[in-house]
Amino acid sequence: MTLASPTAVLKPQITLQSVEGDDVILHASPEWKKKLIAFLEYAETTDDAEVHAFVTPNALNQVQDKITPQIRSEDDLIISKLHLLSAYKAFLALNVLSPGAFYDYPADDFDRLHDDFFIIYETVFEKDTQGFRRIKTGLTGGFDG
Amino acid sequence: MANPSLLTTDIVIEHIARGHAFNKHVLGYDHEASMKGLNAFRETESHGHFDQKANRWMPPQRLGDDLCIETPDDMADYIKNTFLTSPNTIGYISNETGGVNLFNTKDNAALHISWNNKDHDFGTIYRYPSTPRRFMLAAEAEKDTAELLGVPFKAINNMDDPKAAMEVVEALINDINANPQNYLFKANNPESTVQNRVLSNTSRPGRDWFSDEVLHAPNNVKGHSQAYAEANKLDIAPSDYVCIKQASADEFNVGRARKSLRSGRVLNSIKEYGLDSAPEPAPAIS
Repeated sequence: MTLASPTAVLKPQITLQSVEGDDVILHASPEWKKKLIAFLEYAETTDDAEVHAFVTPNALNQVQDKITPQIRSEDDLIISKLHLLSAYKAFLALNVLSPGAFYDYPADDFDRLHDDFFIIYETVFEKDTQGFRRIKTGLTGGFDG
Repeated sequence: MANPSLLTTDIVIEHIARGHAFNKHVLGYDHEASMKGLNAFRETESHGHFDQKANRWMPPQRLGDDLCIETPDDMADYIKNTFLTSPNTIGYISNETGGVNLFNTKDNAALHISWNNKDHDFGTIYRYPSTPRRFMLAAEAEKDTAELLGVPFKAINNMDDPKAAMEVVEALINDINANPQNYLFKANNPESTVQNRVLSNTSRPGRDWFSDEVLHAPNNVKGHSQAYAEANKLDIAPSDYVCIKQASADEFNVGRARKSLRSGRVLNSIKEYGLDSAPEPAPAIS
């Protein structure tokens, strides 16, 4: 597991508000909604064929279509659980890369969104991802020297 | 004789073995610094390196045992005769695409057979330090997806059924052959079938079949390495062992020679007289 950069965004930017049926209500600023769409577009169009073994470009495109109309609003971000899973799979597919390997997407944004979606996934689906995090702070960083 | 318009397991495996996975994970053309220049199937640890962005040293991490894979034929043999038949192979089928996702717990290698990937090489095989955990989380997420869709989660475990992995791969290939309309690269184009894309004489990884041109010399090398042949007790004469570097150089030269032959005066001559035409007899001396 790779660790984030010293310039990592430490505070979560997309958080879970509630779950209503098959929908997940998230809170995110317009800025981070844009960053999320940019990531989904990056994952959809990357020439790294291995990403699409985890999630198809079509599934990623559908998540973008759902988020785009909500991008300017300060209100909550509503996506379905299936959309959440598609985005989560994209983060999972790309977490093999260390920060320096992100050459056309900001590594700090990836790290923040990655961890936010892992936390949301764990809560919504009541799963344990075994501390699979990019940004480790304080004691959670542990000793890896 | 096999129907040339039908896909077979061997064709699928050969595409993966000679496709982007060979460049990326055997020759080491990986963008990830810890794997750059490294044969993921021979090295037992990733590179330790300094990541500029993270401003810290990334220590080497365990990859797995040396699998002795050096050539595309080593890779194809490993997939067919070890990975797919190993009791340590587990996996699942993707709900959306029907793609087959497999992981070998002993070798730490993951194999994805995805008929519609961007490189048109049927998928990939790789191993990173994080592959075991990542694969398990991906399987769990696919299980969640199946539950939401109300469809059964299709798990694969060779420990329960030694033929399980091979059977799902063959089932996918059989369905692609039987129902090509369900496997289109472009939903609105009925001609964009897997068969048309893959068997069209132009897209074999490593070689352009149409002009018989070597595109990626290392991917086009035939034969097994000494390391793989000995480790797997293959019945191969030592004189037939392949050194991937030397064989790649030879393939590269063959490619250049073919290109040269197709150029200018030589090409025109071949067009006019054909390759098998007898040379013109020399004029008789009077």
